[in-house]
Amino acid sequence: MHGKGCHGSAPQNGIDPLTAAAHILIALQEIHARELSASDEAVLTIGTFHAGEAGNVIPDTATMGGTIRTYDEKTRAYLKERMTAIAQSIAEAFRAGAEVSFGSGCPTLVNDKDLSEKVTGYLKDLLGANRAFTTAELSGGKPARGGGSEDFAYVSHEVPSLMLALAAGEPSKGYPYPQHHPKVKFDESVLSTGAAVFVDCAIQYMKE
Amino acid sequence: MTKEQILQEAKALQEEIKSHRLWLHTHAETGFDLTETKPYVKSALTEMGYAVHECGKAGLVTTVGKPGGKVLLLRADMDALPIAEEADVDFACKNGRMHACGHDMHTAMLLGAAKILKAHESELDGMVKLMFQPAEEIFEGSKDMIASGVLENPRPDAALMIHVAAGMPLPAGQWWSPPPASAPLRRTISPSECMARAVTAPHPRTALTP
Repeated sequence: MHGKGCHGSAPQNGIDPLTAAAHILIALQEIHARELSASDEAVLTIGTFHAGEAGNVIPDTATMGGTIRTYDEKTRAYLKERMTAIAQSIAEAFRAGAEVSFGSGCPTLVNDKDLSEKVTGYLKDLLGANRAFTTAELSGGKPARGGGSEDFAYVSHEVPSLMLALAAGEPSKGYPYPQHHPKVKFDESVLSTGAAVFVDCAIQYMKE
Repeated sequence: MTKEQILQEAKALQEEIKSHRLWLHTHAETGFDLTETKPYVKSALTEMGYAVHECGKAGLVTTVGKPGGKVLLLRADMDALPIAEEADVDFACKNGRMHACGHDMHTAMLLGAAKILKAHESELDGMVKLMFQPAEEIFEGSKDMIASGVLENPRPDAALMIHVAAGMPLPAGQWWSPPPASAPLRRTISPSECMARAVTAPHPRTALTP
């Protein structure tokens, strides 16, 4: 958000980028509330909001950063188009200017169906049927989709690939925090089994 | 190798794998700037008898087994996050960066697997390619390694990775992978068109945003 800085005692001499940005932050939530359908799955999170250094100064600029997650290109394109339009229109309404840019992100990770079936079989043989699940079994039959991003996606677009998930910390056992949290802890008892799974998958896969 | 042998040999390596994890955790580095991490992993592999090749800006690749059979790529990521650690552990990282995504666990597990595979190299029916990548968190590391040929000579027939998950209402040691389906499954999505990945960005319902 580009405004025009001035002394906080004389707002009439400036253009406040902060109030405009605040209106934009709230307005972005309307995309979900009033524009996407119930079947459009998406996440839009603003995770950073920075402006100003002193309480009695209206700053020149304010910046917001965030992330969007979608399952299809159409919804993603729509979100980007509407985020840009909302930001620029609101900025204009308050005499400010908005610049909207999007990073490149990474593509959708595709788990190969055949490899997934094979490896789930290896896991059940190695560890027992009660230690390996399909995502559908875990989610009670709901669509098996995750909201994280994984750079292994690029490999999965080149060769049949599989991302395996390993539970490594149960909240009731003292591991309440998720990945990326500054307090997250992982249960090290899973380490040797993780190594064994790598080895076993390699041996079984090469044997077939 | 029988399954019992694999489990037994891995179990015998538990302390060694933990010590790799401890070192990696206390030396967390981000992006492509793995100035201590990459040499650590490289030297651990070299000590096991591997010929390790640098790949791209900060990646490592090596193989074990014999040519002519199938090739499986196993991948671990090595980079941490620019987060100051607040975890209640006695080995918290003090350098302002943190393995808050568990990549230290991934790399340690793959080092453990590498040791077992090397010890049984003559028994392998094909080839295993080990890929240790940087810059997963900024979605650039695997792309950089692919551009530098990690998927060539030999080209893997398939690729596998493990990601640990904490804070899940599941006993530690449970595994899951997506169910069979008629269409390719989108296990993990992405377009993180973003400047940063927030702690719980994909799961806003689990957070309270200020």
